[in-house]
Amino acid sequence: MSATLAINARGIHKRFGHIEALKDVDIAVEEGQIFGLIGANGAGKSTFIKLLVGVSDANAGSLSVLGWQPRKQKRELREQIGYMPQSAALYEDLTSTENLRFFGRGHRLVKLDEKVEQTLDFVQLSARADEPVSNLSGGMKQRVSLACALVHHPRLLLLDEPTAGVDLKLRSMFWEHFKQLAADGTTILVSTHQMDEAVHCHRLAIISEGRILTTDTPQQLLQRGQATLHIWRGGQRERHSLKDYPSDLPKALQAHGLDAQVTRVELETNSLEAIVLDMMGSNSIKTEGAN
Amino acid sequence: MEPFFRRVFSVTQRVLHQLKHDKRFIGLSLVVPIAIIYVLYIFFDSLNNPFLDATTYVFPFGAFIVHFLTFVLTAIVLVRERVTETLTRMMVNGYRQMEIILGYLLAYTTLATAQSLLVLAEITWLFELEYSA
Repeated sequence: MSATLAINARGIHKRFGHIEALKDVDIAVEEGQIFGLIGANGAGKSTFIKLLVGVSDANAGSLSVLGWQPRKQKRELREQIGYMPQSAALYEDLTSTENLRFFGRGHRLVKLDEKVEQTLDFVQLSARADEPVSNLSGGMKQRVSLACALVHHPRLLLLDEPTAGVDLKLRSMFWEHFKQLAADGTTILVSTHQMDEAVHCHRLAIISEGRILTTDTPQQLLQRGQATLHIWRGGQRERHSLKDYPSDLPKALQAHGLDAQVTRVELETNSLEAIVLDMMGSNSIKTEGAN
Repeated sequence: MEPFFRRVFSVTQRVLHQLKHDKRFIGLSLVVPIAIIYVLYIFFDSLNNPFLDATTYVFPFGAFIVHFLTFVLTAIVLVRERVTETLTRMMVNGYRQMEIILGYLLAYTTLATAQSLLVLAEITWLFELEYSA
């Protein structure tokens, strides 16, 4: 099974002094997946990504990225991964082309100019390719940053909050790019705290205070939420809570009957955001209790 | 060319390119040592002591100023690289620590050479020094 895993993290612990940033983290990402790491600010998302790229070392646990150990086999691994940090991380006084050329040279690419041109075309920045990055808008800088992570066609793309501070239209464009890359076989791990983006992922891990609360598909997570069935009967509204609504809904409808007096039926489900917030809330209460 | 040297020269080229665009930085790094040497000249001139040979002190002091300023400026630029995460990005994109250090060393040696020549010319002119074999 591990042959198809792009990322295999088992029992990862990371401490900064007395602060435990990651606690017993287990994450498995299959090749070709878009995997979302969802959590609030300070949850440990960036710390985990830094372990994956090998710029930081775990205090305990085992970590394998594309079959390599990030700290011991840096050179082999870094040929195969693309990393987009939280900040744009660009040289503002250089142009987009110069930035891409510089980062591309680190990978010993052949036909570098051709690849730079193709990548800028992919992020739709060819028209502004020769302008200094300082002249570009925040969203454009994010696109240049993504292009820098893509210039060597990595097998695994690690994106640390790539859409932070990006408008809706651009966010949608970014996700189109990610889906296109995943369709071409690139594995993508993306961290975000924006719930509306979570639905684009194949699988999600919810992280809170350094601990993975759950790993599942967005659809399965949605089904964990509570649902309320509203039935208007003879002008009166009846409310029925459903725990597992896909299987409980038919039972509830059978029990309460859809007779002639029923004028309206509504099903109110929890959003993914509410479900995740509920999980995070329970985790905080448990942590406080343990302390 | 070996990939190691290619990456070293790539860092040097990028740093020099950035320096060329940063006119304020270049201006400061060239004007500050000249100004300090001029202040030193005023100091020795005001002492007006015929038994004190200023040339014994100005050469080592000039060398120290160039060394100190280049050290401080390089440190500032490297810290900026760390804060903006370009240093992390460089490492992840295949550059190794030694290549980055050597790349910076080559680029800042160019700047330090320019500083040294200016300071040397100024000292020679202000203190009316003569070279003898």
